[in-house]
Amino acid sequence: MELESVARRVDDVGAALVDAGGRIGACHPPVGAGGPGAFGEVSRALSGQAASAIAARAAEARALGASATDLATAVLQATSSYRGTDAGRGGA
Amino acid sequence: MDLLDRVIGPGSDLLVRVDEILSRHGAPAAHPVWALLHRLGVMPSVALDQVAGLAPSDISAAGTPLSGIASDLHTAVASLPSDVTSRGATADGFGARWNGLARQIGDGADRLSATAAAVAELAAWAGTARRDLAGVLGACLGSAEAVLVRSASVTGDADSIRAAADIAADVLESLAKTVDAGWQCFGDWSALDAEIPVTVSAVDGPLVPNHIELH
Repeated sequence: MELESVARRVDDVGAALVDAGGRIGACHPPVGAGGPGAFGEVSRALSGQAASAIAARAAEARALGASATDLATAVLQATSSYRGTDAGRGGA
Repeated sequence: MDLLDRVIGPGSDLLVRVDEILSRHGAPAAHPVWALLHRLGVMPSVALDQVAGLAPSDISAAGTPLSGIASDLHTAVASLPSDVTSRGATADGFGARWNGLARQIGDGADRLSATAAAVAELAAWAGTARRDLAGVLGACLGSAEAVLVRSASVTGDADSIRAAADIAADVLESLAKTVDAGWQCFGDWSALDAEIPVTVSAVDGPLVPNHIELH
C-alpha cells in the first residue's frame, strides 16, 4: 500500500482512538453508595479505583490517538512537500 | 427482580426489630455478633440497605462498552498493513514509528480489555453479595429465632435477645464476606489504575530527510 494511503488510514485510527477516549471516559460503574462502616469503606475504594482505571484508559486512548494523528499529519506533509519539489523540478 | 428483591420487604421489617432489640438490650456476653458489629460498624438493617444498593446489572452495563471499544481498537490496528510499498527516508521513518505506535495501541487495547474484565468482576461481586444475603435472610425469615424476635416484648427476655443476636450475626457474617471479597477485587484493580504514557512520538527525528538529492 502506498505511504500516503497508509497515512490516511493511520489518521482514521487516530480519530477513532480520540473518539474512543471520550466513550471510555463516559463509563461510570455504580459501585454502591458508600455509607458507614466497613462496607462503605470498601465500596468507596472500589468506586474510586474503577474511576481511576477508566480515566487512565480514556487518557491513554486520547494520547495514542493524538500521536497517530500527528504521525499521519507529518507523513502527509512530507509527501506533499516531495510532490511540491517534484512539480517544481518538472516546471523548471 | 432477584432473590434479594423478593425478601427485602419482610427482611427489612425483621432486621429493624433485631436492631431495636440489640440497641435496647444489647447481646449476650461473648456472642459472635459483638465482634462483627465492632468490625463492620453497622447494624443489620443498615447492612441490608447497603447490599440492596448494589446493582450488578448497572455495573455490568457500564462496563460493556469497554470490551467493544477494545475489540474495535485491535481490529483497527490489525487492518493496517505492517509495511508500505513506498521507499525512502519518509517511508522508513513512518514504518518504524507506526510499528512502535501500533504496538502501544495494542497494549492499550489489552489494558482496556483487562479493565472491562475488572468491571465484570465487580458486577459478579455485587451479584454474589446480593444472592448470599438473600439466602441468609430467607433462612432467617423462616426460623424460630424470627418468631421470637417478632413476638418479643418491650422489656426483652433472654430468648428473644439471643434470637436477635443470632439473626444479626448471620446477616453481618454475610456482609463480612462481601467486604472481604470487595477488598480482593480492589487488589485485582491495582495494576490498572495507572496511565501508561505514549513513548513513541511522531515528532522524534525528521520524517523528511535533511537534504534531498536532485538528479
